[in-house]
Amino acid sequence: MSQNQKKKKNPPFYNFCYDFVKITGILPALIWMRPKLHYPFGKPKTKGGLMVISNHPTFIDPITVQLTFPFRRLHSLATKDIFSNPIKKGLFTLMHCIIVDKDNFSMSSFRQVVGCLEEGKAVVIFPEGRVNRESSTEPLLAFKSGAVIMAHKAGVPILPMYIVKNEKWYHRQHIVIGEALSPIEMLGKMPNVQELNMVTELLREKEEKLRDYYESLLIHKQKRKDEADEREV
Amino acid sequence: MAMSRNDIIEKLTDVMKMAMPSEINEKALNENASLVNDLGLSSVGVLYVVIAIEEFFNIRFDDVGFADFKTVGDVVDYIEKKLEA
Repeated sequence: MSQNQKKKKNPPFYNFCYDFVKITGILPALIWMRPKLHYPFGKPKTKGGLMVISNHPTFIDPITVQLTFPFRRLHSLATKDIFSNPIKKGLFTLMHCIIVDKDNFSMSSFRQVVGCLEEGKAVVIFPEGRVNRESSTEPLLAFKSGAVIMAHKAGVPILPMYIVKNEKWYHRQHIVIGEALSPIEMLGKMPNVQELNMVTELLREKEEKLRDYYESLLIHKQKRKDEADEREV
Repeated sequence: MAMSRNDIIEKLTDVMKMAMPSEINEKALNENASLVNDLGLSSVGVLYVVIAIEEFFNIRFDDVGFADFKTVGDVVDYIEKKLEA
């Protein structure tokens, strides 16, 4: 039996390259996006193993998530299509991406994600499974349960966040951070598939509530602006 | 301890019943039953079953893709092979 499978070794400079890109890239990204974080439930604890899930309105969302957690190394899942040549493969691996085959999800991807979480690292997943440009106006796509099952296996909480889709590229980036939910505390050690799907749906609802929260902020802001205009008149 | 093929199917049935209590009512699974079409397992369902099998049979799956398992028989074959190794 291959019970004692060897731990996969990271390439040299694994963290150095990631840190280098993050540190040098963060300043221009901060100037460009000027992220504004909203915490409707207070600031959550983000230490230790953490699964971060988010809606996926644009292809730059992985950068937005990196800006949301400037002091953490985040691992993200990436489909194997973007690892199409050795240069891309090397680059994305150094950026802490974990290869996933969407058509034939493998045990190695699963173990890599769970391993990261168990080691106290943070992993980002977009549970809609693809870029959904209508996520700010239409209901979110059905979430895939992979995030829940991996967080449950590793015994770590899931933190939902909502990325607001900007109308213009130069608009300020708003991000709403929700409250963490622990699948292992909710479901116990051996839940069934139905229960896992139920938590997945709950996360989707939480994500939509974060969107509602942001919309209520906009309405409130507009009201205040109208009142100020009336006073001026 | 070596397990017979029937023992494996019996134990696998228990695992499947635990995974999907509302869908699996049979006494023992049919080896030709398709995991997706007949048992209604989603990709996450297959992942869940693999995790449960690892715990129940005390084996570790190699780097297999979940689409490699089409029928219950494929899973039984794999478990048999791992138990013999």
